[in-house]
Amino acid sequence: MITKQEMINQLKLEFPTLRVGNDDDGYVNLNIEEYEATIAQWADAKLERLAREAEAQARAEAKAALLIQLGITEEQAKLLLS
Amino acid sequence: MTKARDLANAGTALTSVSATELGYVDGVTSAIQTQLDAKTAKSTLTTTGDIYYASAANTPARLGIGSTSQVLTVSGGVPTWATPAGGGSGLTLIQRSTFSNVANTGTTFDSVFTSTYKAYQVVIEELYGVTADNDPVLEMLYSGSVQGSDYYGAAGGATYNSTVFDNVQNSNTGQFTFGSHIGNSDYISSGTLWFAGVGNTSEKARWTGVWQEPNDGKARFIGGSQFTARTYTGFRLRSSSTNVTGKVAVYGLAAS
Repeated sequence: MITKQEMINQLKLEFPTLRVGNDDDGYVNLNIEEYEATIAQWADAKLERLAREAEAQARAEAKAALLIQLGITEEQAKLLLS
Repeated sequence: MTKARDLANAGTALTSVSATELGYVDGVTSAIQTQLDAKTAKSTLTTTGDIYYASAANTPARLGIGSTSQVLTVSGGVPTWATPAGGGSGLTLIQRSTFSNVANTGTTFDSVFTSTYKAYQVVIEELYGVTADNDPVLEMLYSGSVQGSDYYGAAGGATYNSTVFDNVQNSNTGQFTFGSHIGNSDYISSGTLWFAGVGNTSEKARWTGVWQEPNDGKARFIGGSQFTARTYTGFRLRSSSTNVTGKVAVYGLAAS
């Protein structure tokens, strides 16, 4: 499992600077405090997403194992629960 | 013409008037002054943008140019320039901006919610991230500051090939997440959000809308609110963890 600091380091490599703005008014780079805060926020979100995906994967694997144990297909399980 | 020349050549009293000059009045069939009086004077128009109009029958008048964004309307039976009152009826475009590779939209869409309107339509024409599997995120702004807590609501939907309905939950969150895949340049997302309870007095902001995620062929129905009452002046968009690119338009709905 990747740590938050490792995730921050990855994000900093991918995004060495960050900016805000628009085509009409122009763009400005985030200052160092804003940059650090944004990268930390992004790291938290990425770790949260990874955890969600791992949880969903584990649920799918457990479900598949249970179907094998019961000796029925997914369609049969759906029929049983309908 | 020959009469005029004859006259010019007739005697010494007319020696200062040439036959050519007398020729200029050839064809005149009535008093010249009467004919001139029937014309409008060029000098009526004194300034760039002036418009001629009739203030009464056969009475030319000048209407000076209006101000930027004013429209020509009628008052008391004559034309006049006027500022559209509260956008008139229907929707009025407040702002339309394009941005690329930004961490968030910053203050681009701050100051779009004011007391001029009671409700606002935000058309997200395009929005996508560097990577597709990021959440699209909404945050409310109040005079440049970001509201970082107290978001509630849901963004439920299903993919094109499934009857399973999933929901992005927002229960006292630090931002409002209204999807699960913001898409990328090959799968550009779009949607519409309606805002109420913003821009006028300190209120709990609320929004509803729809959102489509072409990356996984998903449609979402959105309902959210911000439980901290403030006079919200705008919003910002971003993704959960990457830069975003897009084009967004904000319209105000006439107050009455």
